[in-house]
Amino acid sequence: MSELRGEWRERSQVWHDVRVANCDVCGRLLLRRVWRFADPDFGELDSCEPECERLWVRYVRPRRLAAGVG
Amino acid sequence: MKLDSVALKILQNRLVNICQEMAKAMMRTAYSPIFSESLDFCTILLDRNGDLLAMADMNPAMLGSGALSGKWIVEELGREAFEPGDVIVDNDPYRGMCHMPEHLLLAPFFHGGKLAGFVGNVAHVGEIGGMAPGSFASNATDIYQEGLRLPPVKLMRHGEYDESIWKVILANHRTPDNTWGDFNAMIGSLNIGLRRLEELFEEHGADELEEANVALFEHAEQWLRSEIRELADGAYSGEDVIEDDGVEDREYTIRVCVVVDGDEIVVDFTGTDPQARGPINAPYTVTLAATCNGLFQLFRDFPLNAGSFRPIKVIAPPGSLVNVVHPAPCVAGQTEIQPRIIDLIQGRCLAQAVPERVAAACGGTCSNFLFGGVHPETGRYYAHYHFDGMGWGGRRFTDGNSAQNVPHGNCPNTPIEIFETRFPFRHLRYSLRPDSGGAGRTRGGLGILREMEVLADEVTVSALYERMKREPWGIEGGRAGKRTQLLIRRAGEDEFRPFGAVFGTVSPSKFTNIRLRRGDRVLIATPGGGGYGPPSERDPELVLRDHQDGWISQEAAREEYGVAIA
Repeated sequence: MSELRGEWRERSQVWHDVRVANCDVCGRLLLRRVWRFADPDFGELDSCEPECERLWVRYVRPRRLAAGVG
Repeated sequence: MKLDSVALKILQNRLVNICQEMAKAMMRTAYSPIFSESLDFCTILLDRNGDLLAMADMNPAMLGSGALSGKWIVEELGREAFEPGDVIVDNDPYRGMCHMPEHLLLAPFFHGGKLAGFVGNVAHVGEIGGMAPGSFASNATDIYQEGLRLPPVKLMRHGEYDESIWKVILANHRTPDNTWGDFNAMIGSLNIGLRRLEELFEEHGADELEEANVALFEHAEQWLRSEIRELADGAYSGEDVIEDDGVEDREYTIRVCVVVDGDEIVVDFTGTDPQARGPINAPYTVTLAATCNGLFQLFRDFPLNAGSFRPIKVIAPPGSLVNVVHPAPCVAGQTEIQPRIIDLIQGRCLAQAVPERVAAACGGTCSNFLFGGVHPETGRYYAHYHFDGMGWGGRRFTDGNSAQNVPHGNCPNTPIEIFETRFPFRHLRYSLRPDSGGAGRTRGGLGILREMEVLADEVTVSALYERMKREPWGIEGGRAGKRTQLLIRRAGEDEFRPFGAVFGTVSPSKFTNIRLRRGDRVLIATPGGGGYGPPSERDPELVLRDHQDGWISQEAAREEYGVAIA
């Protein structure tokens, strides 16, 4: 299991801003806080939980690189 | 741990029973047939973090809501926002709900002055405004045409109605009396759940129950992991299409890869088409529910709680057909995308690994037929969301079920007696649809035929169907089931014709606000399921029995199965 490098960050959003954001890894909703981690090829990524950083490293990142995305 | 494994099992059952009792209360006290007859709802218990403790076995379409919607409300508002007697309402599909007709009501449970959990219910409210009676606008091009959208807001404060929000809601629904009654049925159900939780906490204490919850989550997770380990590692891919979005005459493709890796599964929808202009898009929670329904149906009966979801990762790109973003409409994702994903995961992907456990394609549509108008006998406005059963796909050892709601729906139909008492229609025919089940060693289930006549001067109807252009496919050599048909015979005419031909709709299966008049007749023929295995391997005795039951014709017996019946 890879070591996690990310950390929790608070999201600030005023109450009358009703837009939503999605996890850069799995697509889930991002709420009051995000699990933010950096990738050398893809920059800073906001995800919904630490588990998504693991998913990124073992599954999503290799596929995106293979597909020429990044 | 004070509770041993037997006591934990009893506790798990007790939590589920609380949900079942909440559900019965909703069924018995609701105003609308979609609650009282079709049971299009579910009830849930969450821990104080919003994690799912238990869910009634009502409507599995709402599995995603059970797993995420309540938890996301708790995270968005913060636990400090909840006070005793509060009830939150939420139907926002961009914030975790499934589609706008489905409303989640969530009430906090306090024990000893501390927040200790939540009770909730998710239910399909039959009319929420928007451009079409019944709030299923098949050619909507943005969310604002689909009805009133509510982000998480308080419906009740300290046990009292928040009149401001109620007035907004009731002024925007076409049948506010039904909304009033149905919402209060939901609130009554929550109150029963709160009472039962209080009894449970009095009996066990908060500390013991919190410890038990952790053990129950762990037990469910390990159960799922052991099931997944039995599948062969590998990447299993498949794709299928939605025929059109009601706005443009083109297909939309869903692509999925199911990766089994040890005791975990990644289900990746990368490569699925961008979201459509029309309402066939699915929110993330629908895609999650569809994925889990597709997988869970393959496993042994396991305890369902937050732990059950941990070994499964779903990747759904935002802005695609399987993860809608603002402002795209999405009412049909829950009804049409969800069955397609279940079929895909089973019949196209995991059929490569465990063909003995999966089914051929089901009819794949909830057969949504909506109508509204002023009732000629009461002078009052009515609206109704009606759906029909269809055929399920054949499986390795059994024929597909006939005349049943989609596999993720679990909803009974509305009996004709209730239908005709409430709405100005007369039924002329309601039967199984002969020859609609795909031929196979095991046959696809049969769809239904429903013919009804309009008894009012004017009724406004809308429809949202699938499988009208492409048949539900068979697997392992089985043949396809029959496609959907939706026909209209105008008063004074003697021929049924497709709605598209009569009214010039873009889509033959998705249209909004067609005005029918007294004497018009509607004929709905829902699809049959796909067959499993070569038809030539079907026992001729079963073919004969099907014919004697009126389920297949002499011609089909001969042409599909090579069985001559004298």
